[in-house]
Amino acid sequence: MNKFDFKQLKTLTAPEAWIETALHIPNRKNKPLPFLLRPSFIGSAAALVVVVTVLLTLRLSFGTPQPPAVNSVLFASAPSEPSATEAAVPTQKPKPAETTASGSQPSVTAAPDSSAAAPEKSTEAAASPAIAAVTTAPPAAKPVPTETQPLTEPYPPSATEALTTPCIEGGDNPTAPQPVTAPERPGEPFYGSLQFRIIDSSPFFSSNSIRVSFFYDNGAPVCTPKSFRPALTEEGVKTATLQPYLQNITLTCGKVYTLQITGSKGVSASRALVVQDVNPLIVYI
Amino acid sequence: MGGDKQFAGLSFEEAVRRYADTVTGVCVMRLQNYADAEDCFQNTFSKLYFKAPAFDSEEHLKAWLIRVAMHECVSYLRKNRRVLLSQPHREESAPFNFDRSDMSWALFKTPPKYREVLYLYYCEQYKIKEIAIILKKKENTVKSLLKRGREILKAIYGGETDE
Repeated sequence: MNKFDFKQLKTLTAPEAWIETALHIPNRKNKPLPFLLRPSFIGSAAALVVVVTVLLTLRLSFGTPQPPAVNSVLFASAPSEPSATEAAVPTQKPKPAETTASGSQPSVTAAPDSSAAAPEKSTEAAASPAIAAVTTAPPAAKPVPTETQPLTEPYPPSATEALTTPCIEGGDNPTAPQPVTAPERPGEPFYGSLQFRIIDSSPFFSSNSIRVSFFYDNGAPVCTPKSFRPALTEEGVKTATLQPYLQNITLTCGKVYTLQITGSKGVSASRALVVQDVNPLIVYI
Repeated sequence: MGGDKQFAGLSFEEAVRRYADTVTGVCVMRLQNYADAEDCFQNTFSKLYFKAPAFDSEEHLKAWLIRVAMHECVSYLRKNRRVLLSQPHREESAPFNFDRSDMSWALFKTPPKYREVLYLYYCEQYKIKEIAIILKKKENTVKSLLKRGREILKAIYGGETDE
C-alpha cells in the first residue's frame, strides 16, 4: 500500500516569464478613466437627476388649485358689463331711484332732487315749452342745458310745444325698468341702444311716426334724421328702440348731443342728450 | 525597475522574486489552469504595486499577497464561470509536469476548500493560527478542514498517510 508523504508536496515554482512580466508592471501607466466614467462625473449626474426629479415632483404637486364651488363660479362669471349684443335687453328689475348724479360721476338713475322736482317740472314745462328733457344727469365738465335753460339751437322748439313728461326715467315711476349701469368710459363709442318712451301725457303720444335728428354741440348734424314708429306697451307707454351704432349713428360716450324730435302732427321739440355707457339709454319725450 | 516604492523594506522586484512561487502556488492550486493562474498572478502583483499598502513585516506582505491572490482567483472564477463550465476535462489540464516524487498532483483532486488549507499548511508551512488569519476562519474550522483534507488526500492516493 502506498504511503502519502506530505513532505513531498512541493511549492510550485513560478515561470521566469511570469516574473519578467510582473517586473514590467511599474512601467505601465494607470490609464485614467474617461471623463464620462469618472465617479465624480457619475455622482454629479446622478445628483442632478435626483434634484430635477424632486423639483419636478414639487412643481407638479403645487399645480393649479381645485376650482371653487359651482355656485361661486356662476356668480363670479356673471358679466358686470353687458355686451353690445345684450344692449336691448334690460337685465335688472325696475327699482326706485336711489342715487344722485353729482360731481364728476353722473349716473343714469334719477337724482333725488330731480325726482322731487318732477311735479314742478311738469308745471314748469307747461309754462315754458322749450325746456329740454335730459335723460341722464350731465357731467360736471360740460355744461348741459337744465330744466331752466332753454335750448335755442340748432332748432328752437316751437312755442306750442309743451312737455309734460318727467325728464328722468323712473323719477316718479318706481316700476320703470332700470337700465343697466356700467362704468363710464368717456371717449368710447356708444354701442348700446336708445329707448324712446312716450307717456300718454306727451304731445308725441298721438304721433304714429317720430323722426329724430342728432346734432353736435356746434350744430352740425350727426346723421340723417331717423324715423321710427313707437309701439304701445302693456304699461300704456309707447316705446321705440333705436340702435345708433347699427344705424351708422356714431355717438360717443360722455358727449352731449342735441336731439330734434318731430312728431307726425307737427309737434317738435329739442332735447339735450348726454350719452353714457348705459344700456338701454332711455329717453323720455 | 520597480521605482522607489518599498514593500516591507523590499523593492518591488525583490518582492516579486521572493514571493512569486507562493503566489503561483496559490493561483495554480485554486484555478488548476496555467493561463488563468498567470492572469491572477499578474493582477496580484499589479495591485501590490499600485495600491502599495504599508506592511509591518515580510510575513505581513506574504499573507497579504496570499489573500489577494485568493481573491483574484475567486473573482476570476466568478467572472468566467460560463466559460470555465463550457470547457470539458478541465481537471485534466495540469499546468505543470510533476516529477514522481512530487505528490502535488494529488492536491488537484481535492475540493478547493481543502486544497487551500492543505497547501498553506504543507507547502507554505503556515501554522493553523496563521491560516485562520489569512483565510479569516476560525482555528477549529481550519483544523477540521485540514483533517478532512488529509483523509480525502489519502483516499485519492490510495495509501496510508504519513504525518
